[in-house]
Amino acid sequence: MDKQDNALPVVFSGEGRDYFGIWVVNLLLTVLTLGIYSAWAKVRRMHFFYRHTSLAGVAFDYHGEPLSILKGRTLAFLMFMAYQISAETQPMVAAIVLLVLMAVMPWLLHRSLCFRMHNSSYRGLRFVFRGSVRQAYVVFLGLPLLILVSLGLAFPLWVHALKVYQYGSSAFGRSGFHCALSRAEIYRIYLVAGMVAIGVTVAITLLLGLGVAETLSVEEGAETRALAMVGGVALLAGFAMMLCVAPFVAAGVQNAVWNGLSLGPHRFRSAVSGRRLAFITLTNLLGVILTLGLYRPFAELRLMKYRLQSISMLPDGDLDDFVALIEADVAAIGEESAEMFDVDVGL
Amino acid sequence: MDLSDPPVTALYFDGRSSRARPVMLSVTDGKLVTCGEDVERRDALAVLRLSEPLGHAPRLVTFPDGAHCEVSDDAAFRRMLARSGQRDAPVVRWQFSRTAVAVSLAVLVACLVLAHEWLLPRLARQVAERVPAELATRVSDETLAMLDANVFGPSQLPVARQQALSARLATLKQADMPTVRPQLLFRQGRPMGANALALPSGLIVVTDELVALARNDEEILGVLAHEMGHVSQRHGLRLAIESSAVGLFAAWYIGDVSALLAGVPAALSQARYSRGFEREADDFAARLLVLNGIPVGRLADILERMDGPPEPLEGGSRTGSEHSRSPFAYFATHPLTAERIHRLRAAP
Repeated sequence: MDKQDNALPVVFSGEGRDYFGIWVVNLLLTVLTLGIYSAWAKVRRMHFFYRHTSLAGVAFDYHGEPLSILKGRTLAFLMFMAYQISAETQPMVAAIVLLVLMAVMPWLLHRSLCFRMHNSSYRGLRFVFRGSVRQAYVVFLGLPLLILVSLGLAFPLWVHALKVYQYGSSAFGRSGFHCALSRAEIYRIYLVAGMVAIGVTVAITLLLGLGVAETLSVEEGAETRALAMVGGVALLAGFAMMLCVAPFVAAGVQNAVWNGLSLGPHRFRSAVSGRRLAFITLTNLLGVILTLGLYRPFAELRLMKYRLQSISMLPDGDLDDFVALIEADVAAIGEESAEMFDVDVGL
Repeated sequence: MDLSDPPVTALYFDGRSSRARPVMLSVTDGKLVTCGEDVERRDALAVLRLSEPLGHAPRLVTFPDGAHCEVSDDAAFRRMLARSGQRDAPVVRWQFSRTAVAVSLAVLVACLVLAHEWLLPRLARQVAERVPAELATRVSDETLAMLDANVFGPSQLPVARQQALSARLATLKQADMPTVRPQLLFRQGRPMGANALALPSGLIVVTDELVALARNDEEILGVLAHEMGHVSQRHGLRLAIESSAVGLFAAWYIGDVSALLAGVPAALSQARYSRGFEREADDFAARLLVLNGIPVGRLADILERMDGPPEPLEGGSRTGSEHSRSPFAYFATHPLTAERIHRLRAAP
């Protein structure tokens, strides 16, 4: 049964010039209030992206309260300062603080997922995060440790577990999402990307090494210098390849996640092209640099728009049949501290 | 009450199911009238939550019981609200006013410039003074190792000469000046030419070419005093902190972590002492020289000789670039050095 013909694409109607004005004014107020206004700025930014996103003609909505977010950010800031100060004065205390933070982080991230889901709605129904705290510890502490132990080989495993936890434990009203992502798919994406990146880096290093070996002069110490130079170029090439390959990985993962996502009888589709994503990312970077930063809000919007509009829903039946779930308010502490410590549990 | 305003179409959601119901909205006597297929309600405008205008996004009207309406026609909605006396908050109006946005942008840029020129140096100074000695030593040792591997060669200066200079340096009186315990090291400068370099831990590297360039030991001591000034004021650390802060900010703003990894070494290698730092070091040197009975003009003499066409040394190796402004080459046709010479000669 081919459901392609009644696919409902996600539509993003936000425009760069509107976002630019919002971004500038809110940034100024944030700077003038030494960061306190950032909570209001964040809510406004969320509103901008949520309410410009629509499916089947109806927009999404964000309900986060600035004061909750401010509380969360203040807590995150205090934790950060506690660590910094203890690192200066008593390294032993700093180590303990770090361990405590590590122990608490999965719980905070769990709260952040609950908060983000609860404050998102569509057609008046809130989303819900049903993931357990225990699973949060596996995903956010256990598996990262496994990555360390396995020298990075377990990384795709972690990505898989994260996506399944995040998407598979979510619900829209009373209806749960199901994430049928397989480990094999994720491993394939990372394997291909890894091989390409390593292959090209090795090729460049070999070519350069051969070239240098031919033109090597008899100058004293030139050998070590040449080796250092080749090593440096290899490192740079490695980084550059990782940058080039990253959009393809992101595209692959987004597609894999959404193609395997379902909500009751309804399915989803994602058709992100790695090449297009790479192009957008690169031109965004150039734009930001050439305009000395002014292009940034446009860049953000452009990227978000492409990723969102690549997603569509394949409905099987009416979208009117979802029912709400009544649940108590969820405090905001989780979301902001997750952002402070640079953990992205986004799309 | 204005009857000429047509009612605004909207979608109504009751908050309990996902069903969308088309309705018509109108405002009568300060109340919002919602009217549609099996929906009929009147709510005082005061208890409703009206979403901010946000470009092309639909407006949302949220009722106290959790139901809400989605209005796509922003203009019509605005007209309806305006007639009932609703006004957007100032912040909202600024976001969509070109003048306000332009002014905000200008103020933001001004803040950024202020932060870089005034706030950052002060913060860097505070942090530099609190860096523990072990860290300073480790940074210095690593920098020296890197320079020895890539730039410097072992010194060709006779050991006796090295020891004599070190002894002379050690006997310099510092009195009530912030004490510096310098340790003198000699190297062949090669691409760096005639130069001296101060590391945060107090290590001062002097190149053979500089010793050759000097006409007397007092000139060398002048340069060393200047370098001691850099150490006592922790210029190396302050500069590293400032560069890192700028690098971090740039990487965060551009949003790419890998840019950070490539940028920090780049930033540090591009590091150069600002005029302020050079002036501080010169002032320290002047005071130290005067305290030890050495004419301040000696430092100016050797600077003059360094600033200009490179003197060919035995073996004909090049002595550094002429246009670099980094501390790794005093060779500069830049007015900064001329200004320093002038200032040193004018010192009492």
